[in-house]
Amino acid sequence: MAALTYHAPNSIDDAIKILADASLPPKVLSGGTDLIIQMQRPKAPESLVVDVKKIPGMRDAEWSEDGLTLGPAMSCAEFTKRQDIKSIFPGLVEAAYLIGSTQVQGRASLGGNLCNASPAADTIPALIANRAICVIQGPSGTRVVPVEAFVTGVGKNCLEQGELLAALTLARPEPGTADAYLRFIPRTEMDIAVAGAAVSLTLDSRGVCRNARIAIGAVAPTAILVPAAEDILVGERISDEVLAGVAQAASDAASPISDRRGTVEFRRHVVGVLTKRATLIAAERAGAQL
Amino acid sequence: MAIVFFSSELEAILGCTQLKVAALSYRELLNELSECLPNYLEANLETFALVIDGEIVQEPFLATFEANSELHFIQKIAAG
Amino acid sequence: MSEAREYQHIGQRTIRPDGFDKVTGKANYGADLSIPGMIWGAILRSPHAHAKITSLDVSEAEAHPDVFAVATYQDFPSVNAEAVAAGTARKDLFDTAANVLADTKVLYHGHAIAAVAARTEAAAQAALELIQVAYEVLDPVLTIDAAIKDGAALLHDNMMTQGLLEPASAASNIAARMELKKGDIDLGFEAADIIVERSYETPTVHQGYIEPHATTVRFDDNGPSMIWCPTQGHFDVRARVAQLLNMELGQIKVVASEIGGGFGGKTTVYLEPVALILSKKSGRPVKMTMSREDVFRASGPASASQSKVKIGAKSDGTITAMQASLHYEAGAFKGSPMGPGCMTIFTPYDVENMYVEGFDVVVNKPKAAAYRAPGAPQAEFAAEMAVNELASKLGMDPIDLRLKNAAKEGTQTIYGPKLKTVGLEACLLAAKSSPHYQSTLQENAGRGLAAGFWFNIGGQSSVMIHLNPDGTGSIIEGSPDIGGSRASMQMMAAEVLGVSPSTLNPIVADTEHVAYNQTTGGSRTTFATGMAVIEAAEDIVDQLKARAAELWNVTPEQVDYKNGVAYNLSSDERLSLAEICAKAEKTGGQITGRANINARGAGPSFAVHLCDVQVDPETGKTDVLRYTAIQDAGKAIHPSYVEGQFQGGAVQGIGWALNEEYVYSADGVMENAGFLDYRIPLASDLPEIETIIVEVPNSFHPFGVRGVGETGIVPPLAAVGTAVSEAIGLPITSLPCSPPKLLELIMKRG
Repeated sequence: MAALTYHAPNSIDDAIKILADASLPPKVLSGGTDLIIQMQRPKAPESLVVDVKKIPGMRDAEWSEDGLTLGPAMSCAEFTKRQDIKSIFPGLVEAAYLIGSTQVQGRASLGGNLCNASPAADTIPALIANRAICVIQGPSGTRVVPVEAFVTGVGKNCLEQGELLAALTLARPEPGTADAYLRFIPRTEMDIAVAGAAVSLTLDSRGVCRNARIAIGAVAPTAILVPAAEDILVGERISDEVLAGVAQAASDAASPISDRRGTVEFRRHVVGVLTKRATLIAAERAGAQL
Repeated sequence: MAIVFFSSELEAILGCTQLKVAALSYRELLNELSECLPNYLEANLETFALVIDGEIVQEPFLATFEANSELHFIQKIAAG
Repeated sequence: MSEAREYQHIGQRTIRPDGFDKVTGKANYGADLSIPGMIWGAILRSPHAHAKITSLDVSEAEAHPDVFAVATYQDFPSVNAEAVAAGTARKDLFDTAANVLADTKVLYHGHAIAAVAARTEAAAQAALELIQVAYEVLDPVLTIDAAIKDGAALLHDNMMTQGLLEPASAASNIAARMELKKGDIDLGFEAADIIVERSYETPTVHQGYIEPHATTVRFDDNGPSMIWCPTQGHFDVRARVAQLLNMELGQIKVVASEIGGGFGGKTTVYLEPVALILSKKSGRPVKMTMSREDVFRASGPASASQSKVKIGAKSDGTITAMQASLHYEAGAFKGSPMGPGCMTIFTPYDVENMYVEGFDVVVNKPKAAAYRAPGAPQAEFAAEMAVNELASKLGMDPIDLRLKNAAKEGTQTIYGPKLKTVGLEACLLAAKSSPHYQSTLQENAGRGLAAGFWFNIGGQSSVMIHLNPDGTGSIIEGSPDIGGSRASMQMMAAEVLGVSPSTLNPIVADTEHVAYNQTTGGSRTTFATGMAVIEAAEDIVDQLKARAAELWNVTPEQVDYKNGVAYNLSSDERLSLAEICAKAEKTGGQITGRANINARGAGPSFAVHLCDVQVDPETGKTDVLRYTAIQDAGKAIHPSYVEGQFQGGAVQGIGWALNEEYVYSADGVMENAGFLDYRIPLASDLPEIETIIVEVPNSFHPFGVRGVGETGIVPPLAAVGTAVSEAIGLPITSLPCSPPKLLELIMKRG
C-alpha cells in the first residue's frame, strides 16, 4: 500500500476545506470496503484520505415530515436492521443486505456504494427507483442531484474537487407504494450482481398501477431507468401480459457487455426476468391481489 | 508356475501379454524376465509397481509370491 | 479381519488435538514465521502466455541498495542432462526447475521468470520493475483442440509423444499416449443391443486451498539449512530442493507448518527452491508468499479434459463393452493425471470388454498438479454420465443397472489386477435404501446418481512413540496433517496401548526428527502411517510386558497386557502403563516404540453419491436441494473426520460441476484469478451434505482401514451433471453447468 495522509474531520465544513485544498488525490473514506482494496493495488498512487465517519449526521438516518434523510456513511448493517426504514423501503433495505457478506456490511455504506459508482452496485438501482436525491456540499455551497444523474460512468460520479456527498434524501412515498430489488448471482452471497433490477410502484385501491419507476443495474455502464417498462405498467393491473411486456422492455433497454461474469445474451435475458419478478414482488407489497 | 501379465503399454515394448514364470520372488522375477525378454531394459520394469494376487505393492523389491500367483506390472500410483 | 471387533476408542468422536490452536489463532501456518534479519522475496511473472525470452537483464535490480539478491534459472547448479542420464537427478527435474523459474521460454501467463530479495516486501516488489525482459511473443495454445491440431505452435520443440505404437517422428504437444484393454472391444459392441456414445468436457479448476503458498528459509553453510512451509510432504520438498540446488539431504531441514488445505496441490515446490537460492546469495533468511492471484495463475490447477465414451449393453442391462478416449491438459509441462484417469474410468464395472486410450497434452496454462483422486473425476464424469444415459434409455433404475454390472471381489480391472474385497455393491445397496433415494423428487427437480473409484496407496511411514515417566507420551510421525490424521493416530495408538487418546500428543516432526515419510496423499496417511503407529504401539506393548516381567521377576510370556494394564499370569498382580513407566528407571531406562514400514495392502474405496437439484428455467441457476454421499471407509477411525472427508469431496465436486472454471482471454490471461469470480461453493449455497459410512473392512489393515480422502470427489461431477440434465430435460456434456451455459441450452430447446 502506498503512503497516505489521513484526516478525520469533525464537520462538513472542515471536510470540504481539506478536500478542496488537497495536493494529493483526495479519497473520501466511509466503510472503506472498496477504497482500501483499491489503495492496496500495486502501483496505487499516494493519496489523501478523508474519513467522514466522525462528521455529525453522517451515520444517522432520520425521518422528517417530508421523508428520510440518510447519512451516506451509515453502515449497511445498521441500515438493514432499521425496521422503520424496512417497512417503507423494503427493496432498498434488501439491496443493502446483498452487499458483500455480513462482515463487509458492518463497514460498507450506501453512500460508499453510490460514490464508488460500480455498474453492478446493488443499492444504486434501488435508490433510483425510490427517487433518492443526493445532497452535495462544496466550497460554493449546497446543490442537489437526483441519484440517476449522480453516477456519470463506470467508477465516475459528478462530484467536483472539494465536494462531498453530505446526505441522501428520500421522499415519503404516497400510500399504495412499495419497492423491490432483485439481483442475479450464480451463488447465494459474497458475489457481484450479473444483473439487477429495482422497481417501485404505486397501486390504487383497485390494483391499477398509478406510478412506476424501474431501474436496472449491471447491464450498462451505469444503472439506468427503463421508462418503456414504466409506461407499460402505468394504467394497468398486474397480469402475465403486462409482466411479459415489462421484462421485454427491460431486456431491450439493457446494453450489457460479455465478461467473466456473464454474456451479453445472458444478462439481457436475465435482467428482464429480474424486472418482471421484482415488479411482482413490489406489486404484492403494494397490496395487489394476485 | 506364477503367471505375469503385461499391460498394453508394456506389451508394445515387450511383445507379449502374459508369461509363465518359475520365479517365487520379485528378484527372481526380474532375473527371469531379463533373460527371456529381449526388450527387457527398455520397459524399465523396476519403475513399476507389482500387483500380486490383486494386492498393489508399490515397492515390491522384497516381495514374494506363490507358485500359482497372478502378477501385473502397473504404473506406480501417486495421488493428491 | 474377518469378524467385527469391539473397540474402546476407534469409532469414537474424540476432540481433535489441533482444534484449539486453530480456532484461537495460535496455530502457525506458512506465512506466520519471521526470523531476525529476514528479508523478503518477490517474483517477476510473465505477462505473456507463450513467449521466448530473448534477453533477461537483472543488473539494475542487483545494483539497487535495497536488493540483497536476484535469482534466475541460471542459479540451478545441478539441472543438467548428465545428472539425469546418470540417474542422480529425477527425470522431472528440468520441468520442476523451469516451472519455478523459466528457462528460455515462458509457457503461461504468471510463469515465474526471476526473483529478488530485498529489505522489505514493498522494496522487493518495486525492484521487480528494474528487471529488463525482452520477449518474442508466440501464439498461445489454450485448448486441447488447439494443441493437437496440425500446425499448432509447439510448447517444447523436442517433445516427442511417448507410448505410440510406432515411435514419434516429429515433435508435438502430445506428451504421451497410453492404452489399456481387456477382452475384445469389437465383439463387445457386436453383442450389444443398445449403444450410448457421447463426448464430454471438463474445465480447468483449482484445488482452492484457503492458505496460499508461503515459505521462510534460512540457508546455512555450517549446518542444515531450514525451510519452513505448508506442504503435504516435507520430505519431498527436501528431496526436490536438494536435487535442484545440488545439496545433500542432510544439509536441509524442512519443517512442515500447519497447513490450510492442500488437496494434492501442495505436493510439489514453487517458492521453496527460489527462496533458498535467494537466502544463499544474500546470506539472510528470506520469506516469500504468494497472493491469491499468484496461486491461481502459477500453482497447480487440475487438468481440463475432453472425453469420448461409448458403452454397449444387452437389453437386460448387461454391459458388454465400454470404450473411452481421454485427453487431459497437462498445462505447460508434461504430466497430467491421464494414467490414473485411464485406469479408474471403468473400474466400478465388471465388464468383459473394455478399451481406453489416453493422451497427455501440453497447453499454455500453469503446470497441472494433483487434485484429490487426480484424473479420476474427469474420466469417471464421462463414464457415469453415459451409464446414466444408458439406464434411462433402457428404462432401468440407475442403481439396478449398476448392481447388475458392479465390480466386486475377483473383478478383473482394465489396468491389470483382480479386485480384492470392495464395497461398491454395499454402497449401491445403501444408496437404494437411503432416505434420500426413497424420497419423492420435488417438482421441476432432477435427481442424479453416480459411482466413483479410487485406488488408495500405502507406502513408507516412520513413527516413534515416546512414553513419559508418568505414562503420558508423544507420537512422533512425519505425515503432515491435512485432514485430521493426528486425531486418528492418537486413537489408534490409544487403542493398542489401552490408554486415553488425549494422553498421547501427536507431533508431525520435521525432516531431522523422524525418518523418511512419503507425502500425505493418495489417501495413505490414516492407512499407512496409522499402520506404523499401530506397529510402534505394539512395540511398546512388548516392552511394557518385558518391563513388568522384570518388576515381577517372571518371564514376559507370563505377562498379559490388556486395556492399559499388565497382568501377572502367575499371580494376581497388575501394573498400569503409568506404573510401569514410573518404574522405567529401574528396568532399563525410558520406553520408546518405533516402526519404519513400507505399507502394503491399501484397500480401494468406492463411493456412490446422490444429488437433487432444481434449475431456474428463466435464469439457468442451479440449486442443490439434497445431497447424500455414501462411501466405503473400511473402518472409520474417527467418524466425524470421515464424514468431513465425504462432505469436503462432495462440495469440491459440486463446485467443479456448477461454477468453477478458469476463464481465459484470447491471449491466455486468466480473467478470474480470485475467489470473487472463481466461484467455489459457499456454505449458504449448499444443503447439509448427508453421509452414510459403509464399512467393508480392508483385510490388510489391523483395524480394516481404507483411505477415504480422495474417492469423495469422484462421483459428484456426474451426480450433479445427471441431476441437472434430468431437471432441464437435456443432455449435459460440458462442465461447469454455469447459469449462462444452462440458460443457452434451455433457450435453444425453447
